[in-house]
Amino acid sequence: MNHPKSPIPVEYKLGFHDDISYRRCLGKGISQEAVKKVSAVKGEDPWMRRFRLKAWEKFLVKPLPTWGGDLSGINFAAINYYLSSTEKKVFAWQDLPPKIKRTYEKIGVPRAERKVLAGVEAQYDSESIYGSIKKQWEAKGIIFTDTDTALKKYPRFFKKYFGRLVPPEDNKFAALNSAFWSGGSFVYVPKGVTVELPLSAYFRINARNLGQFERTLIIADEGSSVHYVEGCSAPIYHSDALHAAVVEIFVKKGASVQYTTIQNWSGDVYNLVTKRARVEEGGSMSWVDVNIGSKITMKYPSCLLVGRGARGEMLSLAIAGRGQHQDTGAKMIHLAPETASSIISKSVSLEGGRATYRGLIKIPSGGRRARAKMKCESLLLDEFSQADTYPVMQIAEKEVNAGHEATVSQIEDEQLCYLQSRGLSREEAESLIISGFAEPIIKRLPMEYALELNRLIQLEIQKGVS
Amino acid sequence: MFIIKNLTVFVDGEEKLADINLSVDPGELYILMGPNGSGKSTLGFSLIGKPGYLITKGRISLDGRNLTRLSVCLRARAGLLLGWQNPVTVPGVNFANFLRLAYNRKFASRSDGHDTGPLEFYQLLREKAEILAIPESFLQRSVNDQLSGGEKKRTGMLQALVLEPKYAIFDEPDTGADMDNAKLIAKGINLLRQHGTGIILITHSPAFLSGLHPDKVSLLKNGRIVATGKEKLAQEIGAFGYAAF
Repeated sequence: MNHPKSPIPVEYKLGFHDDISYRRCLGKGISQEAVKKVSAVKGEDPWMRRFRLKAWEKFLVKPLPTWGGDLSGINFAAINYYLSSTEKKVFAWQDLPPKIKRTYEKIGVPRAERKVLAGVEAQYDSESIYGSIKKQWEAKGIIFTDTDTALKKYPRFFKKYFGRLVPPEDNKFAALNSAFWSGGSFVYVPKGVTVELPLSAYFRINARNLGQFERTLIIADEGSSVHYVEGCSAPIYHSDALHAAVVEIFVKKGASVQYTTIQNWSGDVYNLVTKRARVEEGGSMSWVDVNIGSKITMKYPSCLLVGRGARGEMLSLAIAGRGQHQDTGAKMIHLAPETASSIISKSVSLEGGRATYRGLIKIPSGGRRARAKMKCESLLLDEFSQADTYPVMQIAEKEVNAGHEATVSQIEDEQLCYLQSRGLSREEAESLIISGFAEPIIKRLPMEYALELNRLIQLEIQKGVS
Repeated sequence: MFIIKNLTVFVDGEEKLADINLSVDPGELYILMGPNGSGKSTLGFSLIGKPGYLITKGRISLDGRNLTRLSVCLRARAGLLLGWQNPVTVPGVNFANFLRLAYNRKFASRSDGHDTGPLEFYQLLREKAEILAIPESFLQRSVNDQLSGGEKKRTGMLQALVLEPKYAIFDEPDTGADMDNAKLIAKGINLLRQHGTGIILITHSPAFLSGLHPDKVSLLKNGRIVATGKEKLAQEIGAFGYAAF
């Protein structure tokens, strides 16, 4: 276990790495050969191999986005596109190699699993290495496993849903993911089943210069309900890593899904993720998206509201500190009558960090009596930091109710003084005010995660004011 | 004893208080009256060290300790509390959590340095809230959020009952409070006094003072204390108005 030296006092507690030997390593470099090798390692059906190779062609022709974060620093040739540490996935923590097990214990995954979760999938670099779902949920027909296993065991779901919501040609990083995808979660919740405790996935990058390309597919059948929580972290190497995930969620008639992300990558990671949900009649989809870590994040989870009365919600919180650009937002596409969407986006910028919000509300003709609201609040902690907002509304229907508001503010001196006049230090008052600012998002997290997030915010702020 | 000696204060380059002298003993009630803009709130903010209130002359001391150059936070920890005339709303910050943090900071050195846990503190908070007829649901709201004027003043008084300051300044705690609220606030003031807290009370209302039995009354005009007396002075001010002095 090494604690890398850092030029600035970094409080990032998960920046260590494990010295382990990898069983399967593709080596650095990007090529069609590399795509074929990943496919061969997986021993998958020819159709998936064809899917990957087509996606590879798309990746070659798609340009890097010129808006959003500055991605010119990504050196695709210096990334390792596949790394696997263990021979096979295990179903009990004690069966993991001790070093890796210790890492997850440090992060707190086994503890959270015992206390508040219905099931856990843990991915380490390219492969899922641990998985478990408590028996009572499995007995109800819920499927929760890694995406590679699911592809082999339940191919019918994949032929019908995989890549349908986020096709490889969607954007350069969706194409890259489709070509090299490995790991991720597969969730199926049968009709009418409510999963009362969250299902959780934890993504850990351990190796230097890794590209992690997990692929998550969630299908919530009619009238079902599920909450999925993901977390992530990575070592500090001062050398770039790349995380490009694709998440597709199908919310059937009357079903509801909450997808919660607590993104805490180290400052080495480019985090470029495409997330989309398709919501049928009377269904509801909530994205709760928290971005604390990474070097650059570009992520705009979307809801396609395709059935009458479908609802989409986005609650996001971004904290942009030194050297970070959090370029995040949401898209709500109202394709059916009486659909409703709500976007609440909050950001905190400090120490020269930059938070950008991009929101799109689209109500084409057909979205009669749709309701949509977008609210964006940015908090700037110093004059070196930056917050930008780009709200867009495209409305073709007349009979709709849509509005947006955006504010950029600083911590109010009156609030600081009031709290300090009760004996809190300036630091304590600031972090309390910031936690309060984030509270509408934090309160939607499971308790354990909410506590952890408050702790992370306090660390960030202390880092900022010290 | 809480002593303000020759205090002169500038705000935005303008002299707002000149040569203020007053002192409060433990358990004493000192009334400060005066027309709008006479500098009463300025005095409250100057005493707690609010940024922007520049003390150019004089000294503030609490039981022999010089507070004049201390930060807002350290003055509070030394035992000084201001009940704000316009309590500040802090959205999303749970009242009980905030007050527990303040309580633990204040009393960290009192016992073995261990923090009072949430359950134990909540018990204490509930008992004190009952005295002021504050519903339990208020304790779980954000600080000063979704409360009427009178309710804010009552939860402000609750903060004082919990933090047990050595000296407190209450800036128009009766303003915005209806009769029932005002009674409860007076009850809080009496309890604090019994407990030994010395109080400076800023008010316009002689009616509010009946039953409080103040020890001293001063009248502030144009940043200066122009008259000092006993309870009778408050009654005279009530009868004749500020202009008569």
